[in-house]
Amino acid sequence: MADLKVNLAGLALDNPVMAASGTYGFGREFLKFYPSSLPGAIMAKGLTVEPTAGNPTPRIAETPAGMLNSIGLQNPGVDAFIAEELPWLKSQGARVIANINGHSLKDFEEISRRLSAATGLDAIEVNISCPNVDNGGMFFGTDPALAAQVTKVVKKHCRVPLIIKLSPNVTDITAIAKAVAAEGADILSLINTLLGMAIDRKTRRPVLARQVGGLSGPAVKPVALRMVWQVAQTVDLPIIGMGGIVSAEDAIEFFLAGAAAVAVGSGNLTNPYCIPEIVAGISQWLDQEGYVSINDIRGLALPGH
Amino acid sequence: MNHDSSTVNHSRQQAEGSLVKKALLTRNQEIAKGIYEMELVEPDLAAAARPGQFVMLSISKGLEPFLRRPFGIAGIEPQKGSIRLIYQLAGRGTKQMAAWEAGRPVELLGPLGNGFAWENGPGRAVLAGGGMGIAPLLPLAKALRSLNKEVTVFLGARSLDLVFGIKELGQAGCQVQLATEDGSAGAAGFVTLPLEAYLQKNAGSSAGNSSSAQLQGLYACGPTPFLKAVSGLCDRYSITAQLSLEERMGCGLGACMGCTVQIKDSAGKIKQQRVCYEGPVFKAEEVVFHG
Repeated sequence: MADLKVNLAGLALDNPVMAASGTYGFGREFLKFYPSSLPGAIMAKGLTVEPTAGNPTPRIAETPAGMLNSIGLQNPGVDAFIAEELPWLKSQGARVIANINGHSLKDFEEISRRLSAATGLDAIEVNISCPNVDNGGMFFGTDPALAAQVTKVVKKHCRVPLIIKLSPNVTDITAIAKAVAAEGADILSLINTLLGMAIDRKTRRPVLARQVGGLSGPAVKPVALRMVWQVAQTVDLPIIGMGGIVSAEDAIEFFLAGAAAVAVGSGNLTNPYCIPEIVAGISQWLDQEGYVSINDIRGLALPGH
Repeated sequence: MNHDSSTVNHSRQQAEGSLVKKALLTRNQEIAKGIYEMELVEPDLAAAARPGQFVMLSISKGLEPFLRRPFGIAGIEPQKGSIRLIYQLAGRGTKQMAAWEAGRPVELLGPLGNGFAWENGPGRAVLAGGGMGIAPLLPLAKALRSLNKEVTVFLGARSLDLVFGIKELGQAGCQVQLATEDGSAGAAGFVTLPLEAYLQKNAGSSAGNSSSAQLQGLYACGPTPFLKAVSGLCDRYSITAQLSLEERMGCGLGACMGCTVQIKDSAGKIKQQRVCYEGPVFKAEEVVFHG
């Protein structure tokens, strides 16, 4: 049996397949399928300082080999997460990554300050790439200087490995990656969703109440793979690759592109057993190909290998 | 007995772990214009399903179409080990489904969500279905009839060729009142008009009613504007109602937060709830309608 353990800047995981934020709630809904300790880590639903109601419905639209969402960060607020969801997840043996969001630098500072007092948190992922909120969200993730500022503000309070989640809605993702790396990001996760839309021919209106939303699913995989491959050549930080992963084959391609771990997003929504199937599939493939560790295949598709 | 509670939890998890089902398609036919009914055999599903619950059907093993499709359960026959779904041709998924032939395996998740609730024993209930909203009311009507309740069903459709379920409801001993928007059958116009006339006559105390049994409640399913109108009527005539809501869903499992609705508790506090998880059935007085 190949070794699936990975260590990303001190974030040590039993396996490299995580649940991506926003597709897994706080884990409770998946307990009826498998234990919360099974994913390498759970990236919890995106948090804001105050409880957030989210956007009007429809919030979901299906697209070719994928889907659009405009949930709008519906969440109970960081305090409820610290008081209820985090202790519950830890009691289930889960590795927990908090995903944090803000409309301003002050929001990011406040939420990371509150989280610094929480016990049991394994890492913090900073979402500077949500396309579904008006102020903040993706705005911070599309400008290298702003992305660097957010990183700096959160880093000040962060006592666990700091992950910055990058937006694909940029011309040059490596510029953002370099900017956040310079301010102390420990790990990068990419990609968030691509801004897109769907139109209903019958009503002659956009399907989503918010008009536009984030595209995810297998349709975005080639874009995600390319961006992981580019960033892996640019900065020397571990990368959590995500974007359209629904099978072990998909996941393996991300490791070959330079990812140190992967996350499953929309795949959880269509197949509740997606993560356990991918973990098993990776292990089987490594054995079959004669690798002893998942780390042995990392970056094999990068130039120079 | 602390030890017991963990045992119970564990077995519950195991029971729910079998939400993924492989059913056998035994029938798939057009029952009204562009409206199809399919029968799926899966004994555990048929034994567990309750009126008002739904399933998430997998259309393809590949990447297209990507999402599963939610369908309210339109028939529950535990003796035959089968359930029925009624669906209208609407897009890529239903178009593929309509071409499926008997003998095909169908993967689905279910039963999902919380169904309708009712009091045991005889009494009187009124059901109101708009368009495809009649489908989940069919097994409810039968369950209420099996308790010897008097059941009156108000059916609304755009036109007669889109109507289904009348015969089944009649055979179950329900009173059926049909309305079509184009007047092609039954009362002309929205079904909320004859429904209001009925409520006006039958609401309140049973004294003076032609029927002896007390009206215990109303159950409705259909498009949101229809449910909003029904909710308004129930408020006006002080009738408790349960509404089965519809929203576009991502997962049907409560994970994606795609199908959130606003629900008002008794203190007036508004909560975000998921149609797929806390619903799809909600008390009418709790549902906050927008627009």
